Amino acid sequence: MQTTRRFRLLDYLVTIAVILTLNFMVPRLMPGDPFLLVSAEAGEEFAVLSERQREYFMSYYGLDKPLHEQYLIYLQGLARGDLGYSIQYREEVTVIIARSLPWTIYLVISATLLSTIFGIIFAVISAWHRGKTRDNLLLVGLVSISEVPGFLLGLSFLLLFSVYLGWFPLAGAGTPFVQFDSLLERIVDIIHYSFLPIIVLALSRVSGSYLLVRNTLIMVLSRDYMKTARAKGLPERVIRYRHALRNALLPLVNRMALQFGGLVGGAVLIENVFAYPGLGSLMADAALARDYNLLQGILLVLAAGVLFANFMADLVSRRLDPRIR
Amino acid sequence: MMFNNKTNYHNPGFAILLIIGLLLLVTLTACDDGADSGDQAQETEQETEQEQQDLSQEEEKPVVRLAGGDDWGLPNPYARNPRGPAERKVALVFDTLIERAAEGMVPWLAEDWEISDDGKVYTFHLRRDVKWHDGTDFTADDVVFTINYQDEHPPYSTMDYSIFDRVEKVDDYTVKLYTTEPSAPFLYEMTSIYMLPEHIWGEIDDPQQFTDDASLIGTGPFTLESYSREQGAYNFVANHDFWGPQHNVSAVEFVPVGDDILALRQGDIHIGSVSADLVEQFEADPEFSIIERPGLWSMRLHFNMRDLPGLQEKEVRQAFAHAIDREDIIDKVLRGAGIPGNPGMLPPDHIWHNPDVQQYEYDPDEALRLLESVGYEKADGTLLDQNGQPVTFDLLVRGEDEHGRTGELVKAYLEAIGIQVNIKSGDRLTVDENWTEGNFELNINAHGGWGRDADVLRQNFADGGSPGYNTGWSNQEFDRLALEQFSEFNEGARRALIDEMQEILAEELPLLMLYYETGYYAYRHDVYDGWVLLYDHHTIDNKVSFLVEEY
Repeated sequence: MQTTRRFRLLDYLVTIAVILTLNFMVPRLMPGDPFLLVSAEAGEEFAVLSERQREYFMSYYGLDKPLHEQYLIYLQGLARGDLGYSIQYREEVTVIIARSLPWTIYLVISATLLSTIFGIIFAVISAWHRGKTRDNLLLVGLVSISEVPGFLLGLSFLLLFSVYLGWFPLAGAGTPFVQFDSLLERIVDIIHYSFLPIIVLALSRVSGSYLLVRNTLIMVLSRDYMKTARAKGLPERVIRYRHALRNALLPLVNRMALQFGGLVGGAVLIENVFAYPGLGSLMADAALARDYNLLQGILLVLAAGVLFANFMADLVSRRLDPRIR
Repeated sequence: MMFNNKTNYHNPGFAILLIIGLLLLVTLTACDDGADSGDQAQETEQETEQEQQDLSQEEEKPVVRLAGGDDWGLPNPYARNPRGPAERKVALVFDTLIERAAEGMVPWLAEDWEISDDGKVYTFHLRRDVKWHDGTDFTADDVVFTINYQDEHPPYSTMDYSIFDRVEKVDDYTVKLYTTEPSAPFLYEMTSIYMLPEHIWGEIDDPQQFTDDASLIGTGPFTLESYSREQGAYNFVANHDFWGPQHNVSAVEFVPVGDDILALRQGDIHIGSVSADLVEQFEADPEFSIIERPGLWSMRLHFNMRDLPGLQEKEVRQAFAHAIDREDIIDKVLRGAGIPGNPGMLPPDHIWHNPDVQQYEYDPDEALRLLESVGYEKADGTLLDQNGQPVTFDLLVRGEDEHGRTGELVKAYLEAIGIQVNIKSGDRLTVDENWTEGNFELNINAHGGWGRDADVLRQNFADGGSPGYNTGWSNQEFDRLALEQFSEFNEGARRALIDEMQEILAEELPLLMLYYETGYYAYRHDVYDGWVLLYDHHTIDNKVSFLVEEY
């Protein structure tokens, strides 16, 4: 037990070292640099920089130094909790991330919880009525919805609920330029704006947990201890949720942890369709603009998030599965 | 017994609690933002009272909403993003000595100016009634300061500060600028130098990191009332102490928008770009009016003449021009919303466009004839070069949107005359790095700004060319003309030189202009219909769009 724990710690340390190095190197290995301004996006132009201006900016951001020096500076800054200054936005990377991260956490976790809860509920219904109409309908319905690309689903929802019914706003995360009188009004506003993005993200994810739980449940239902539970005369609800589901949850918890990093990437499309703030679109912009400091900051936060999710998954698995305890 | 353990991970109640917790977290961070701008709100409270009085006197002016959603940085010359939409926001808050309007350049912070006979000394007479947003007078000291400061700390700007020799204050409202050489486009370049208040920026050693509220004190017609970075939302309100033309609007808002068309239909925004497919729909709708944008944004095909001797022969480049049906590309890629590329480079919508240059109709037979005249031949559908080798090119192009589609069509047209083309694609900066380093054979690329002073021809093509344009073409006669027009202050004479430069470019084709994109704006005329296009630009969110035309 002792040795495994020490290995665990070592594992995490090595992982972090590798992540730090990759976060630093990969953005800088991409062709181009933040001050290569020679072409423009659709319909736009840009400030043409003279050679002198370009050199000034490169040296201001320390990009003219050899790579290993830049790496040392990055590590020194990191030790002080300083992620550097965003080249694109002219602001501390920590400040930018701190502003966007809560929106992403809110969006992603709400959507994950919703999709998992409904995935589980539908899975239990499906597995119980395996092969019958209800199961078939759920299976076909949920899988088809998940196969629709997120942005298309988002646009259809926008058309239906925002344009035709007018129930929800089209874009953004809150009514712009409004000071709210009370916290409650503010919360209602945020829920109003986040409703569609969360639902769409949840819908596009629901089939994953649904399929996983349904398949494990079907396996579990044929086990001997299910017969024992029935023989004991336990009520159907208890058998269904406590005996069967509990054993089917284990792979789901692991899957959720592994998926965490991917979820933020998946949020990009939703963020774009609904112009919703968050790390996803920020990361995409940073990568396209070669905003090295911002990009490595976001990657670091995401990596930390994935490691944390894994850690949590370990803990939860222990509680769910007495064999690990 | 472990089954009695209450682990309600699948209990919806737990999830709801968690969501509420997250909501609180988001709300609290969002409230922090509010607190930041709270100071500003308090400061402006007194002003607001006055504004309200002003407002009651004049009639109610509209609040105009445009599509936002992207963070272009704080609207000051140093914190802004290098791209166009960011500069136009800076221009709402800050002023230049000379401004660009619908018909041409107009006096702005400078009332008038004289140019010395040798073309190297500019005497600017400044307006006397201009105040910074904090009430301080704008004077010659600010102009002297701005130019020296920006020379030391270059902002994102197209201005090449090495043209300045020195700047001198004559009196409080007169400034002399000395240039290192006579420069005809100098006045035009001055339209991109935003004046900074010396009493604020004079104390700032590192302008890149100066983002206080004070960094937004300009002399311009608007002040930034609120700004949400993560939502890309900007709210500019009219500065009622503005020295210049009256406001037509009381506020300009950029709000987050997912889809321009939906937002326009819903009234979330009052003006937006609409594609050529949808423009008829909006035309038929009595609530909307349409503005067609001029074509000042170019898509171009570059030839690497440095490394590929085959492309050094102008007949080969001319053959490309005959082989590619540019009208068809416009129909397919832009649904008709474009103007075929002009071989003389300056677009037809440029004020100094020369229409009488050599033209190249779509004519594949003529293309083949030209190629055969320099020793190529076509056999079994394949074009063979002078050594009997099949002609193939790599075409470097961005994968996305119209770049990718344009690339595919160019490939198809070249293959129709027997040239084999392999497409190499990447994102913008990947393509741009390979392009500027000469690591390509053919490249498709794009940018705007083709309405700028005709000196762009010198900047891009003379002396071997600017980064990206330095693809191995040079022409002594062109270089001579380019230099001559640069210091020719007589407009007629200068224009004649520029005409000649366009003729050379059209015959030589150092690159092939594929098209200039146009496009449309649809706007709700009952909300606001004072939109103005500048003589040199294709976007509508310029500051004169929001002011009464009286300059």
